[in-house]
Amino acid sequence: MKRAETIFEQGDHRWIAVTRDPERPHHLIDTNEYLIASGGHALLCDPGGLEIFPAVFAAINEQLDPSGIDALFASHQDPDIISSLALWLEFKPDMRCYTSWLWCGFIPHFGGDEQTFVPIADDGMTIKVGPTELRAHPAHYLHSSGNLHLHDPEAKLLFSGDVGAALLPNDESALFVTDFDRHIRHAEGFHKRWMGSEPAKRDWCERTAKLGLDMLCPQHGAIYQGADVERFINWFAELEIGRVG
Amino acid sequence: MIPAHAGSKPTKESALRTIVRINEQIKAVIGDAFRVRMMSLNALILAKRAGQSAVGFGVLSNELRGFASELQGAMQGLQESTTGLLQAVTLNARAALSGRILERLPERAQRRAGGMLARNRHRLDDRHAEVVHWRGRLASILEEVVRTVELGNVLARSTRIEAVYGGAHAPALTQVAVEFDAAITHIRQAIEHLRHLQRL
Ligand SMILES: [Fe+2]
Ligand SMILES: [Fe+2]
Repeated sequence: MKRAETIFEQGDHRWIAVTRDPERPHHLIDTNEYLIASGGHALLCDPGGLEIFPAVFAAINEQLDPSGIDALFASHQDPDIISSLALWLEFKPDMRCYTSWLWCGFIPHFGGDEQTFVPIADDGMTIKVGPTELRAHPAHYLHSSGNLHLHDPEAKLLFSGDVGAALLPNDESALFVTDFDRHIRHAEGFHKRWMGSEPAKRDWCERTAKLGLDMLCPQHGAIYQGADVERFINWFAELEIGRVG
Repeated sequence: MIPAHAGSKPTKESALRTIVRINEQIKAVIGDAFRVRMMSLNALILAKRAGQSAVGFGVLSNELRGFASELQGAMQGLQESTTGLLQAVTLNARAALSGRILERLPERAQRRAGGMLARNRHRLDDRHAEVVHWRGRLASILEEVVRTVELGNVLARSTRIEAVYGGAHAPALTQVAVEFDAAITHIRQAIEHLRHLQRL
C-alpha cells in the first residue's frame, strides 16, 4: 500500500505526500500524489491512474477524511496523472478539476462533465484552498504542451509534476533526496527524453529559482529539499534536453 | 502481445465479441433479403410473360417480394437492438471495472467510501437491467423473424410447385424457384446461427 506522510504543517495548513508503493504492479510507473489541506478544505495534486485509486484513497483516508477534498489539480493530461478522475467523481460528484485550458476537452474522456473542469489560462491562476492561496505556475512544454505546476508561497513548496521526476529502482523508497549526485542519475534519462523545449526550460528555471522554495515535489521519485532545490534547478538549466537515445 | 481477453474466463466468449458476430450474421441476412427482392422482381416479369399459365407463380413472387421487405425491416430492428446492447454491455463493463477496482479498497477505506460503493453497485444493477432489456428485445424480434422466414420458406416451396404449371415457361420458372429456395435456405441457416449466438 501507499504511505501518506505530512511534509509541511502550520496550524491546519498541511501538505501530505502520498508516496511510492512497493506493492504496486511493476508494469505501472510509480507516482506521488500531494494533498494540500487548509481550513477544512483540501485539493489533491495529480490524483493518479485508475488502477492505483484504492491505494491513494486508502492512504489519504489514514490521514484525513477524503470527503474534504473539493478539488483536483491535474498538471497535464497524462493517464498516470488523471485517469482516476471518474472514480474520484464517483466518490464526490461535485469535485472540481483544475487543469490547463488546453486539456479541458481531452481529460473529460476520463470522466466528468461541463461542471467539473476549471480551465487554467496559460499564465496561470490563483487557486484557493480554504484561506490558503496557491498559484498555478506555468511549465508549458515541460513535458506537456499545456503544463502547470502548483506553488504554495506560504509553505514555500512547489508541486512540479514531471519536472524533477526520477525513475528510481524499486528498493529505493526514501521520501527525500539524500544524495543528490546519486539521485540525479535516475532523473537524467527521463528529463532528456520527456522534456522537449529548451526555451521553455530556461524560462521555467529562471522563474522557479526566484520562488525561494524549501521543497520541490515531483510526481515521480523523491522530494528535493533545502539546497537540493537549487541544485536541481541549476542541473536542469544545464541539461541538454529533447533528445532521443 | 497480450490477448485482449487476458484475465477473463477463457471458456466464455466476451459479450462484445458475440455482438460483433451477431452483427455479421444480420448483415448477411440483409444481403440475402435484398437478393430475394431482386429475384422476385425478375420472377414477376417472367410470370407476366408466361401469361395465364403462370398466374399463381406471379402471385407467389409478389408475396415473396413483400416477405423480403418485411425481413429487411425486421433485420434493421435487430441491428438497432444490437446497437443498444453494445452500448449497455460497454457501460456495464465500465461499471464492473470500477467495481473490481473499488473491491481493492482496504476495509477502513471501504467504510469511508460507503456511498460511492453503494452508487457503483446501483449503477451496476441498472446497467445489468439494460443489458437484460436489450437481450430481450433482440430475442423477441428474432422469434418474429423466425415466423416470417417460415412463411418465406412455404412461399418458396410453393413457387416450385407452381413452376411446373408454367407450360413452355416451366423450365425458366423452375430455375427461378430453385434460386428462391436456395436463398431462403441460406437465410434460415443464418437465422438459426443468430438464435444460437443470441443465447450465448
Ligand atoms: Fe507526464
Ligand atoms: Fe508523470
